[in-house]
Amino acid sequence: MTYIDFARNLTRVSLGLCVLTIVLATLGLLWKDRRFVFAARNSQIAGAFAVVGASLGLIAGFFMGDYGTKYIFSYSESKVDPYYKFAGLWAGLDGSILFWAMILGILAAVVAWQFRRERDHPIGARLEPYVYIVFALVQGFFFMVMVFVADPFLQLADDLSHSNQMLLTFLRNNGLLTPEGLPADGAGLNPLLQNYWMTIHPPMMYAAFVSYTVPFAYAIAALLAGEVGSYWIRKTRRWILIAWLFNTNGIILGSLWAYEVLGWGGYWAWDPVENASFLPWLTGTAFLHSVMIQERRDMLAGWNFFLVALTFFMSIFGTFLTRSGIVSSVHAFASGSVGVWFGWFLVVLVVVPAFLIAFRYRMLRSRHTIDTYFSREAIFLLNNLILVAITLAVVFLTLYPYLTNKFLSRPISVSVPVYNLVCTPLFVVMLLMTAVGPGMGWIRTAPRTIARNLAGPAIVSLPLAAFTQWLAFSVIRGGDLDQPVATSAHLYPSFIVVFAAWLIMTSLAWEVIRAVRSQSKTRGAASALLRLVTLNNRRYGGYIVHYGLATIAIGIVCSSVYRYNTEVQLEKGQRYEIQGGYVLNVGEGEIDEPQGAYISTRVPIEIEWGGRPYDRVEPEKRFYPKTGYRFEEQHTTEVAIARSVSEDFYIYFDHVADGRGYIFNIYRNPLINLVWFGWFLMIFGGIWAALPLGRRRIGLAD
Amino acid sequence: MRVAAPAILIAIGLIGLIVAGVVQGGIPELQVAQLLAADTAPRGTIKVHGVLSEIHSGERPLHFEVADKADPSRVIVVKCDRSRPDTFQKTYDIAVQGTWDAKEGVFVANQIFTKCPSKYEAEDRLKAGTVDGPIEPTETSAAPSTAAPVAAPSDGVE
Repeated sequence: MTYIDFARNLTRVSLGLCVLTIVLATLGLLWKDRRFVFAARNSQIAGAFAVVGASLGLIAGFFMGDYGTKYIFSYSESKVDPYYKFAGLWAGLDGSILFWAMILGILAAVVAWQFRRERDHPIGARLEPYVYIVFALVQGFFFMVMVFVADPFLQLADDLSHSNQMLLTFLRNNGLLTPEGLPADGAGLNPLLQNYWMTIHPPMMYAAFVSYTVPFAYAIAALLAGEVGSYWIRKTRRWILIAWLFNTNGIILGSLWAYEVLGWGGYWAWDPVENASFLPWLTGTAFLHSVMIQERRDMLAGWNFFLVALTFFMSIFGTFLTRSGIVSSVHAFASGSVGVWFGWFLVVLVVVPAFLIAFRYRMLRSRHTIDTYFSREAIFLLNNLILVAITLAVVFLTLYPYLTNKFLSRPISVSVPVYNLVCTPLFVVMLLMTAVGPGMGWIRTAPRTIARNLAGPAIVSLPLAAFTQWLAFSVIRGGDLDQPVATSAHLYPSFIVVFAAWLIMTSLAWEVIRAVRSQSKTRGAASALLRLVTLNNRRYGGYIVHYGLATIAIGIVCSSVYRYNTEVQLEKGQRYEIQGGYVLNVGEGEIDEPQGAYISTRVPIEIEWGGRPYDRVEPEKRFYPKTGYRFEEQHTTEVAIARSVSEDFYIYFDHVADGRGYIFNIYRNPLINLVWFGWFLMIFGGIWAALPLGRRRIGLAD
Repeated sequence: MRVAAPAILIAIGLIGLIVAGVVQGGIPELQVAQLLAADTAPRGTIKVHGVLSEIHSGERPLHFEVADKADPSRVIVVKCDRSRPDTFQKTYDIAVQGTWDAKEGVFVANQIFTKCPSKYEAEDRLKAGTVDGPIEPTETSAAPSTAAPVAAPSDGVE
């Protein structure tokens, strides 16, 4: 038995351990015998070892060049850098399912390990077997997909499909098989995927999707056990924050990847897969806020179960979209059979939680009510409704081609402007409520107090918003006013967004100043601030996240509304002046040189501004010729970006068919770096909020 | 406070926005065969799905053919003054968005959609690489010890 066979068998062992976990946990419940639950716990932990072993086996196959394994043959080659051999695990469909199952297995083991500390907690002990059952069912689904339809360990020789037989014939006829009948090298990872973002963006996204399983498992366990109080919320709030952080990271890193590689000057195109990463983020954000209402006011228990179920549903929905072929996407796989499996899984994810929530309806009814709109819980709830509305809108628009095809027999797709038209007003309301919410108290706040808290920040925000708009506008226009880029139709809505973003920041700053003032009577301001943000790290971490959100909002609006784009045909050595006082000097000759597996063609460009050198960039084309195992010619484009605080100067080039020079596509994106800076703030704030600091750590009452 | 009131308000707003959006910005999607079989040429912007079957010019302005997925004999000629997408390979799925000039029999595209490269396995890539010289499933092997000859850098014109 080879190590690949062994690794393949480990996936079957993992599936067997899932079944064993379910049986043991069920027996523990039926016979009320904790020994079976402990055995289920050990089975769950053993399952993690098995799936990690299987994944290591596949990774070892990449490093050892086991090209008889079809997946390794398809996504690797001997010359590829070692980190891309590691990333090969998630480079294609079958490996990504194994990767998903591996993270899920590790999380399941961590949760099982955490239960060791809960043995004396009556509710924890009640939930434990149910949590194992839910985890094992979800894991079991992924293992079944792997074992039956997406086996990453499938050998080339064992695949009897027509296309694979053609492949083997080609390899044989061209002398590309060893005497043992195995390929001596792989077909290579597509050059487009040989990008550093490849090593980090997909794992972030998978980690997010998988982490949402933890709150889902606890929620279903709480419903099954009839323990619908806030215990499961307390146990999972850090998990959902971690999942949300991974999700945020995944979205922004994916956007950066698109921005730096795809060459259209933007970073978000509302593709179904981009939407799929955004949907659980929206519902997860709603959940992060609504749990606070349940903790503080003992309300919205049913709504929280709904949100957790919806978030988990959305984390699977994206995978279904790309594997089912129901919508066309740049990320859609050709294979449809995996999609059918995911489709049925989604049906289960609707039916089971809906049934359980309905079954526990009486338990979930709240004894308290929200008395007035002028309270923090009311604003949180309204913001929840807006977030769910955006979710529904994005789902509907993503499925619109499928729905119109199904019901009108003529598919109609929608493009970026439609998404922007529908979602922008909702985002504006969300931002305004984000500005208002934190300044409100629980239960009831006098309107006069709200007005007093907001008046100062609003007055400060108006000139700040105007200045920001002017800055973005002036960056692009420079001294040259002949080509207006933003019309009045854009200016007013964008001003509202920028104003709302500034209001978020100024109102939070005002709140922090007031809190520090009240504390600094007995200590210095710096000491008071440090004490506040440490004692209430969850709250102040959240405030930093809000700062990040506001910064991103300004970055998105300014870089899209005031974006300057021009396309110009230039010849070698030509000088060209563009808006804003910039001058491009195209080099006399392009640089053609072989670079390992590809031939690089770079066009040197000197950029001047105000008569002085500003930057030197070299947009590049790469050509990967056919080689023995690299069956197809491949082209990639490397965008050149001259970055500064105020804008990105973004250049992409093409050769002209008749050989008369180049076409340069030039974008100037003002304030775009605020998007990436806001991401940093969001991640920092989220991590700060998740840290185990706070009142309990230093012995104060929560 | 009644939650139903703001929820209804948001729902109405949402429906209004969606209706306004799809009425203004809906783009009909067609397969190549559907476009060619239409009694009257579709007006305005449409999106056509198919398979990239021939590349006449891989540099700007792009000039290529898109075949129907189910019936490869049904083909449209496409012209597009945009950059060549990186996964612009014969036999790969492609969608083009633009207008159909029925009189000239040319689709004038302003956007091209190709798939992320992670979606293609070895067989797909083999098909793309050998489309100009079909693989003959014979047992008579030329069996050169090294790979097929390395191609010269292409100017993209095939």
